Amino acid sequence: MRATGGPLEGIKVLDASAGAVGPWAGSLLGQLGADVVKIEPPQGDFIRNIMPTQRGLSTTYISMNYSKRSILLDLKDAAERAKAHGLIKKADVFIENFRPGVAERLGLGHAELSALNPRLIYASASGFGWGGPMVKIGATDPHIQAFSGAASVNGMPGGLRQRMRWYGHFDVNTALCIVQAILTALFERARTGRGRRVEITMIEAALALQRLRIAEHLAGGRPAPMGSATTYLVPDQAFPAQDGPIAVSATSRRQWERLCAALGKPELAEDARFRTNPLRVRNREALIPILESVFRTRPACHWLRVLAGAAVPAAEFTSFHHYRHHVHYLENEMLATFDTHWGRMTVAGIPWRFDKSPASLRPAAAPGEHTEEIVAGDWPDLAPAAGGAGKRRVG
Amino acid sequence: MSAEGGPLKGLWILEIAEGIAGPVCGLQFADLGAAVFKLEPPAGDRAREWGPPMVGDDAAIFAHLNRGKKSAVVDLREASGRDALTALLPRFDAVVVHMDPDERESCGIDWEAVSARFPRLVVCEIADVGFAGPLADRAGSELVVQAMSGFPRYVGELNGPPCRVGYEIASVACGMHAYQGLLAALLWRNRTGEGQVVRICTLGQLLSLKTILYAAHSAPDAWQGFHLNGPQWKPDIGWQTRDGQVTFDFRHGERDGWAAFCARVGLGHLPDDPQYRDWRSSIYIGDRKDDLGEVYRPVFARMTCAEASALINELGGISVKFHDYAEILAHEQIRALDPLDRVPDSPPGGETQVGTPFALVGAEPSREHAPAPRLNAHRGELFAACGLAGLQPASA
Repeated sequence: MRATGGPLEGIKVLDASAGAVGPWAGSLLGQLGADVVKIEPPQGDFIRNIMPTQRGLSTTYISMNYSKRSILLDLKDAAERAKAHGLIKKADVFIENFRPGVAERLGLGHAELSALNPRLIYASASGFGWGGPMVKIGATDPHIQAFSGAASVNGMPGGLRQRMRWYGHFDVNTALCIVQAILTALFERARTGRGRRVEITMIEAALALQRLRIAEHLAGGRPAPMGSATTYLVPDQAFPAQDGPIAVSATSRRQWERLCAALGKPELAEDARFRTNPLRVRNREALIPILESVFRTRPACHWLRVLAGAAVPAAEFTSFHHYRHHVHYLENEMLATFDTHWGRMTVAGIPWRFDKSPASLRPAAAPGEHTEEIVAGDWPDLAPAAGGAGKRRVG
Repeated sequence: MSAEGGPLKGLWILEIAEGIAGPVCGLQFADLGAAVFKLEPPAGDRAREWGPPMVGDDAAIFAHLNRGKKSAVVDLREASGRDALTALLPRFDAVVVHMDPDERESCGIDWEAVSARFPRLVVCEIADVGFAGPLADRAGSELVVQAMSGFPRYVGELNGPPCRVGYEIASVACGMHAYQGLLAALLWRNRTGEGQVVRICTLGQLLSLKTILYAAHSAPDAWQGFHLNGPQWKPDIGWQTRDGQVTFDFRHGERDGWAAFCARVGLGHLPDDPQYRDWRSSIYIGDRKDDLGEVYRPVFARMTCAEASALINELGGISVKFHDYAEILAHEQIRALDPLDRVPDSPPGGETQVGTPFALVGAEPSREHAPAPRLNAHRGELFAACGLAGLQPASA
């Protein structure tokens, strides 16, 4: 495997995490150019049991572990553990999400590893944290969604609290926070020369994702399920065009005025009840039926054309099988297709575009594919990139 | 304890961004010790009006997103404003920019040219719908980006009216990716001495959160699993008790706990029922929960949330309440984690706010912040810090 040319080129990450929370953080660091080595026990990461499979291996496992190399080590065996400690001495970052106490039992506790390597960034992720009354209770996405308040703002007005049926979102959301923490610690290390322990909980990451609803709650608002609408902005919801719903928002004064003009209702922009967003929020019930009655008169394609011309945010509600071949999504490299050991696979594109140190996607390794090369070779550097940095290998 | 002012002390960040995504990025920098200046248009960041609820004169959302920052009005549609920007930039390490496409065009700032002119500067540009492609000139919003990403299919009823995910999954995640991109580029600058432009698309980064789903859809051996079937299920309300909703789970390998639960609630026959051989798919989440799970509903309807969760957790399972924000913030576990920071000088309603969602042990930043700035409150300070004290203040 060759060097990446990404902004984290030269950074070595040992990723001992399992499932999705830690592994996606490792994958993001790999996409940023770090040399990420996933370390699994011989029986494998439990996520390999999640359906569906592609040519026999869980697609979740494959998608959470791209842009990494892979080794298998039995950490309960003293000799194998010593090999892991050898890798730790060369690592910049270690990622774990064991249940409390397990890392220590495996010889991978923070005290032990930071003694081996004082420059190590040691990142720990947990569901509910390392103390408090819930410390012994396991956490997975569906429980965090319920516990954190997220379900209390999903659903139809007056309806029951709903979880989002894409279980995994709160895992990858936690992974985003892990990456932020690790990058912050690496930046601080550049100044101080010292490693750090960083800690991330799924529940705090979930609260951060909901930071605006919580800000409203703390300011006396009452966030609740509102269907496609939201508390603070009007109009900002689905409207019924003649042949189906479209999403329409007016986020600024200019967008509101242009929306009224595009709907052929310029007088609404002058109406004292609707002049500012706070007024429209307060008079939402008077305004929405007026707008709905206009939208009903024409099909979605008409309104999308008119609103695009007026620079007002609008879109149809869509899904993966509609956009997976859409030229806009492909031209922006929002999706990537590559060959893997398990056949061709489509995954998400890279979330950042660096103009000088491009991030890259590399297909997932087969479990244990690099054990010999990395363990016996004392973690050799990635080979120099062919043709230098600057080539993104996607597609 | 504040460690020398936070891990990012000494960084200067310029924020030319309204709404949520750019300000979330700036907020993370400010919370961790960087100096963050907002350049606002004469009318101010549009999110100042994104309420009620309000905190003082500004929306609660704005007050949260902009605590600890400073504000200066610079009108980038005017040549004099663009000249002022050029004079300010040498003082800054990084700039985060997020404008509507038509505003981007009317300001006419080429950020690649800016980057070439200030080679150590890191520029993070955010666009909602795309930087290229046929829809690149479309304006976006949280809802529009959600609609274009397919996320709303996982809430609400199949074929029912559209429902959004009720918190800002697109915009907040975009701010987090922008923070990552800026810091990664700053690390690269440490090594090479060079800044660069990093671009984040709100839609693209939201789609990247669903990579598990695309992988599942690629060429599955069988159409099995919640990553394929979730959108078709009924709304996921967990289990309804007398006083709220709870989760109900025993992990794989904890069949005994589930069997004990069944025995305790008068369903002792289920473990022998062949239909319940794959018992976990009837309780947690899964393709068969809607029908095979019916049998548990009367059981939960007789209990309170506290009774149901106590019983399940006692038997080794996992059960928590579907909280609202008042409940979660009062919960003992949350008190133990202490996720709220303080903004002592804020107008009423903004004195406590969600803080940084990760901890750098031993390098904790301050947990107290200055309130969000009044529009243009720091123009003099900014221009003086950049050696431009002689310039006339803008009429705001």
